[in-house]
Amino acid sequence: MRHLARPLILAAALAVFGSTANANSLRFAESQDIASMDPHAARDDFALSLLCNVYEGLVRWNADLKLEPALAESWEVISDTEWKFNLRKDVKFHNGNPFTADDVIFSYHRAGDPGSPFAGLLEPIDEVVKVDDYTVIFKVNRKYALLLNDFAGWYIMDKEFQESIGAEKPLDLSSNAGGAMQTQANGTGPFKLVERSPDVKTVLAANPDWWDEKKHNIDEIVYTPITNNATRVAALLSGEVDFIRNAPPQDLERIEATPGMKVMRGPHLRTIFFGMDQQSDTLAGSGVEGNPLKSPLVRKAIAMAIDAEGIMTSIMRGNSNPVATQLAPQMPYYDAALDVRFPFDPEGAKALLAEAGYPDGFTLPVHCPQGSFINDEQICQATAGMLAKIGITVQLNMVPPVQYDTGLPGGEYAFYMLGWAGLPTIDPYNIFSATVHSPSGELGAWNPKGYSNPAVDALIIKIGEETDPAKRQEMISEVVKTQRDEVGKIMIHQQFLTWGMTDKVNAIVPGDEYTRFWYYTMN
Amino acid sequence: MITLVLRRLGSVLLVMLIVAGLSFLIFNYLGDPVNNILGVNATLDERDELRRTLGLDQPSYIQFWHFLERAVVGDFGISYRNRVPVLELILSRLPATVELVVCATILALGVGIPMGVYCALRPKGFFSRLLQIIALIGISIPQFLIGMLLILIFSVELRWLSAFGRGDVVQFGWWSTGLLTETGRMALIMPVLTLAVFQISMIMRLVQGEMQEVMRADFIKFARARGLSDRSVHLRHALRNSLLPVVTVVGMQIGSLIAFAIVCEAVFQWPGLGLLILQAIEYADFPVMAAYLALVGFGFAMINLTVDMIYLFIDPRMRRK
Repeated sequence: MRHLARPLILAAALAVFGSTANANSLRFAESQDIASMDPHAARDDFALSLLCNVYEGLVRWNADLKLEPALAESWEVISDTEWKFNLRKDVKFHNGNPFTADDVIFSYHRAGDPGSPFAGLLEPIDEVVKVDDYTVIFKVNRKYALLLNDFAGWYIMDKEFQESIGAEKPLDLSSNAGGAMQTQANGTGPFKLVERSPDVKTVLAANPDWWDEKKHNIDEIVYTPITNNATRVAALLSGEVDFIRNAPPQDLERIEATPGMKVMRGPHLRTIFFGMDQQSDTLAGSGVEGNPLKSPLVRKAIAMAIDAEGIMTSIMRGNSNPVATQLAPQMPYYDAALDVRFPFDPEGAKALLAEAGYPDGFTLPVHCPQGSFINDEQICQATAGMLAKIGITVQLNMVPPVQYDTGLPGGEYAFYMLGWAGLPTIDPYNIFSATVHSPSGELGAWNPKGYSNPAVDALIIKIGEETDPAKRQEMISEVVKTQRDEVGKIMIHQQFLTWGMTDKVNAIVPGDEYTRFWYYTMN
Repeated sequence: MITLVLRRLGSVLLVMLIVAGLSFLIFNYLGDPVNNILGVNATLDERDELRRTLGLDQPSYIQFWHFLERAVVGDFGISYRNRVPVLELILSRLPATVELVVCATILALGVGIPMGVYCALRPKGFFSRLLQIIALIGISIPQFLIGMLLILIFSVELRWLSAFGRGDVVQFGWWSTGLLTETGRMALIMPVLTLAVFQISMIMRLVQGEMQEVMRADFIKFARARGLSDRSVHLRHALRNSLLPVVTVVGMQIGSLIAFAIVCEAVFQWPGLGLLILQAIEYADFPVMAAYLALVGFGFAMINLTVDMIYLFIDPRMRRK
């Protein structure tokens, strides 16, 4: 009898408590506001990491960053150039409109037509053919391995709604049309937009008609941009917000020491490295003849002079993981056998420099962003000190991110810090095509004058086409190994995510930094 | 008289032209918004194409000319970041800043003038010395620090006030005000204090200095000789005559605070013009920056013009020249 009574009392107490308790409201603060509610407005992971709660793609990433069906129930590869998708039938947009093949075709043109920001992502697709209301065929212009990965970052919008508000095009800076998507959204996702005042507040509410089984217990998400780091932390500590993503490193201890607060950590897919000019014949300001960075020996010497373990303990306070290759351990096709760093050995590095013909070192202009990556400035300063020990005088230039993101792809920097996470594709192909392939109109945008190896370039193209996992693994490892042996980049570490929140919140911390609130619960 | 006004208006236009022109020169060194608009995954071709579409590949003077062509008909373009017309955006952020600055100024006048008068009348008293030390501290502490200290005390420790934002606001057409709601008024307290501390100290020192000067003037001695009460001598004769420079300086201060309350707005996430321009700089949102700077130039030029007009009325000698 006693055994039976206890759960009954507990249940009764819970019922009483449940009826009086407030709805679960998750108050979430970030350093900036998203630019708009338009998921096609920019290939901007920051905006999409929030909008993934409002809109959905044909497929989506689950909590373990594996692909799973979303708006498409199933798919089959008909031929090398034809993919058939069967769409889910019971899905409604937030305004009640049914989701059909027409919306998929509309979203393809909206996001992928020339001039739209997603044209590059959807470029492999030639045409989308409607078979019936719930079946579409994508015609692809070549054999392409990453269609599903790309689809996870391409969200479906409601054709009728978009036409009714006059927002059929995502990027139209010549007219007022884009403004409509500032405060309106109509997706199929687990949360719908209730209220939005740009740069002040965005309120999402749980979507009661969501097609998927609801696992979260959040009724409302209140998203507030708070630009100033100290104010954002103060808002968390004072109980005005429940959750801040990317808590500033210097405040982690304070948050953890506060009763009722915690920091959740997770490995980030982003690895931080230095890229450099390996093409120019001279290095301006170096004080020596020629371009020392062209020599693999010099690059290896620099790599051996950098103490990544030291950076981890003294600058990152343990929140990093030194790596030898650009693939983070959580990235698909990661090869642990290749993840072996050059030893930290300043003496050996000096000897290498002498062997390369620079016994007295040289001057190296280094460019570093102010705030793009965690502790970027401190890491650059530490690197300058370490390189001084092998005779390389670093001339350090700190640059605000907006200038940096223009100057770096513009080829203005000889030696620069960069981090890449391979988003939203979550495949080595994205990393290789952006930062390893020789610069061309389509590829290598973030590898200006950088590492260039025709054999590697050819492999990268094949990696994009090959669908067989075993063959892909072989080619990917080959690229990673070649680049590591030739010291194409000087690797530092993998960043850790550090999210601050109250004990009430149970979050998941995925490597791509997306806040997938449908996996969150609140006590 | 009319020719003088016209000449002044001409110089206002010139000031706006120069400010806007300088801002276009600065844009060359700010980076460009392409990466922010398209995202990091954009290819080199896509970047170049957008640069062409936005006219960013053109030399500065041509971009400036296009800007002027549109600006004369009141079209300042579309914000790259917020995707709404720039003028609309600036107007929507203006009320928050004006409310903050006006409240801070009223507080500063209300506290600063009595403090200044007291110190002028009893310059050697203990309380005066104390006030002077406080004023010195108020002038020396950076705004950022005052704001963070207030947040630490009233939000984190005491949990009385919200660390960020404006609370609930009420809309009247395009104007919004937080003065009519409880949360709106509470939200004003810390930002207003932060902004007012410097002004209080400045006004106090101004009033004190001026009044000590005036107290030595002949007409004060005559007033005393006439047997007027201390109260009347101090407030009706001395204070009145020392307020003119205070009014001029406070007027100019209001202008510069509305234009540059950036630090205070950033600390308290106050959704006004300062935060807007800060975000525009971070994003390289050129249309917002150009329009903002031109309008700020216009505002300052108009304030100066008004001051000059007032001088003309007050001092007949200037009219005769």
